[in-house]
Amino acid sequence: MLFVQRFETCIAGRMEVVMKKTKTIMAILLSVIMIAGVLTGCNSKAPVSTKDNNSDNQTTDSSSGKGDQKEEPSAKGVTIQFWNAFTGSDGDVLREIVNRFNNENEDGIKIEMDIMPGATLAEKLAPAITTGTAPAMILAGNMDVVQYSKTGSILPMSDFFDVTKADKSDFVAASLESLQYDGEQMMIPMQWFTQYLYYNKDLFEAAGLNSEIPPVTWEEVREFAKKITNPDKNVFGVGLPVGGAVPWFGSLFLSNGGEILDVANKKSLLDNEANFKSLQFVQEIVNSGYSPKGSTGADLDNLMMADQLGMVVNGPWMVNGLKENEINFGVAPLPAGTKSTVGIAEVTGFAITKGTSEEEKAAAYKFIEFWNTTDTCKEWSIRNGFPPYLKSVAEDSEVQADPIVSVFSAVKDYGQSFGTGLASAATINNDALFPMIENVIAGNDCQDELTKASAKIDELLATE
Amino acid sequence: MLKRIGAYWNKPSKAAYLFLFPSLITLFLFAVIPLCGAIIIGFMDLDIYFSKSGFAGFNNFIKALTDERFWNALKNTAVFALIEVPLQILIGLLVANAVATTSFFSKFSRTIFFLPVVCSMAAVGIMWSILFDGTIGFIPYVLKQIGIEGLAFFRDPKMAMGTVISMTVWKNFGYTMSILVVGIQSISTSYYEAAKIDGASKLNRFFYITIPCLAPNLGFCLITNLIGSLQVFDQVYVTTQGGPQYKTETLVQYIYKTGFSHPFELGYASSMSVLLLIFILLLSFPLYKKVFMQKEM
Repeated sequence: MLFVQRFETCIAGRMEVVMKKTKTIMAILLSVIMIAGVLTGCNSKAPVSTKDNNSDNQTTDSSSGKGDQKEEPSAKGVTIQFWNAFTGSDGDVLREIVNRFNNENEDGIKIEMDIMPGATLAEKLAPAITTGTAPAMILAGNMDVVQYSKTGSILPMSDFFDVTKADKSDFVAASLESLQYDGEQMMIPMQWFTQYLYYNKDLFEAAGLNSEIPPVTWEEVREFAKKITNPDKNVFGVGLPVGGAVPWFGSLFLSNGGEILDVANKKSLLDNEANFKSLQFVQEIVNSGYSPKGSTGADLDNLMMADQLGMVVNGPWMVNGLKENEINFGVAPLPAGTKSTVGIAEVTGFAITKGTSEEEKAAAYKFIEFWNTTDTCKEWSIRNGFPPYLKSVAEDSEVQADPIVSVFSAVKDYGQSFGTGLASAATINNDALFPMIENVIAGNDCQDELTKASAKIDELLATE
Repeated sequence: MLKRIGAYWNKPSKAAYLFLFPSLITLFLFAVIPLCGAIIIGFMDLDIYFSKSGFAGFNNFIKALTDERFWNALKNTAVFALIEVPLQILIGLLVANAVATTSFFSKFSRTIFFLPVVCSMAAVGIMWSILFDGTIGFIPYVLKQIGIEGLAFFRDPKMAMGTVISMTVWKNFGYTMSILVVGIQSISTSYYEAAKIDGASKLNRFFYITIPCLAPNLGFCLITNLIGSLQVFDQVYVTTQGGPQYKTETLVQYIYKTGFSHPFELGYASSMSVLLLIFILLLSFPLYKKVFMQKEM
């Protein structure tokens, strides 16, 4: 108000008529410019695709995603946006492959890729879909299939094998099935994996352990962790993350004979004796000081890269980071529990978002087809260590000879899906199971936490 | 015609509104419309995909008032505001009093203290997260060298909120300081001279001249900091994401999570936003009345 008063006094003073007019005109001009600025700011560039003028077939209604009697849409000269969460070093390999596709494809298709953290992607994608500004193609996990399908956020891709040269019989059936909803193929596989045990060979040797013999049971993990832990050097035996990580505890529960959900995925079975013992086991490791308290997945990644962590459970993407940081590491299948070895298997798939035009979809299909060739999938497996889901890649002698890929291929031996058909599968992990682990690691009563988490899961299942 | 329009807007009192017009448009577009939208959506059963919609009446508000996590977030927000605001004003006031002179050292110090204010909260959050990391952080390492071990700061349920508050005070006290420095510099030196002649000590001059003369500035800082504190979000989002054990989850953080991650319940998130607005109004309006309206009377 003071500013306005001063301004008024100033104007009311001794200014000439001409000056007054000039000021008024300036004021109007300034107002117009600022309003225009504000309105322009509102019209932010949407990450939707663009198309060259020479391309034809302006069909935009793609809600069905099915091929029909219409002229086949052309992908020539189409540019599409592609969002994913490959923020690690595997993202560099992905970027290389995308660039190669951009340079080599004969249709002049251009993929503009935007990599962001997974949480950011999920948060940006929902409003982008609602406002019609979503990218044509995204990468999402099998736990997202139901949520995205139910809300109509992604288009069915059941016609993929009809309109492309991709060979359906070359895919491991489970990889396709985990990306289906209501009889429709909602995503096409990009990679599949489970969890593995990474260990630091130098720390093994420093603790007097044989660096070529990793632990094969969870009990051995505890014994090894005890030997590796060295508080003077800030070295921990094993990392047990409380968030921002793979759901490692699911594997521990299931391999010890515990259960999480019933067969129909309608009810929580979490509150049982085996899981109680597993939680006690976790708490004992932390209380003994073998694992840092309350660390997230990112914290433990940092510790691994700093040669301060003996063992951690993680996915295949960790390989490149460890190699880049010149860590002398080994990777082994998950340790067995008292009953079996189980790893939660996950599939990442390509999805086409709602509102994508037929031309954009055709362009996306071309890239997905390119990805699912033996050569590209083999490159992805060899360079990143991901287990192959194409039979032709799995049978490749070079892939079979790769020591890391051969370990990762254990997904076919102990990989088990979690929460298939549930929209809340990821939320069960994030809002019930991870908080339970966090509380147990913080020292809360294991039985109380089991009961609480089980009730929370039932609450989430009731929303299905 | 143009002349008449020109003459009308040429009046001093009218021209001022022309200058205010762009701000009013911005305010209308980015505050009034979203506010009305939030109130309307708060009464609807709506998700972010618009895949379900319908009138929900007061259901969302009742759900919030019976939601344990909502009350936990509200409690955390209140704790944050009750500690952060007075602490920031106190530190800002003490520092402002020390550096309000025109010497080179004071000017230099003011610049240094103001530096964190111009940094983004995201950058500050990441820096503090690394510095205070329980296992690889520099501060825990230094503390370990002097015999203080096992402090996890952001990862310890007992310390996380305190660490977030400390970080916020460190980042923002420069702003409060700069407002108070201006206030102190505008106090007539004759007051201090008269007090000196009467034999008033430095402490007395501070309590009986500086603070009373700064009352409007302090009031302004109190209200703006309080409103800002009740909307605390970015520092928590960057450092703890509301953990550990939801001990730092604030109301805006919970609203954001509810609306922008599974189950994407825009209606419920909006109803909590409306409740937050009511809390802020209930707290800030009496304060505003006390600080500013009394003066005008």
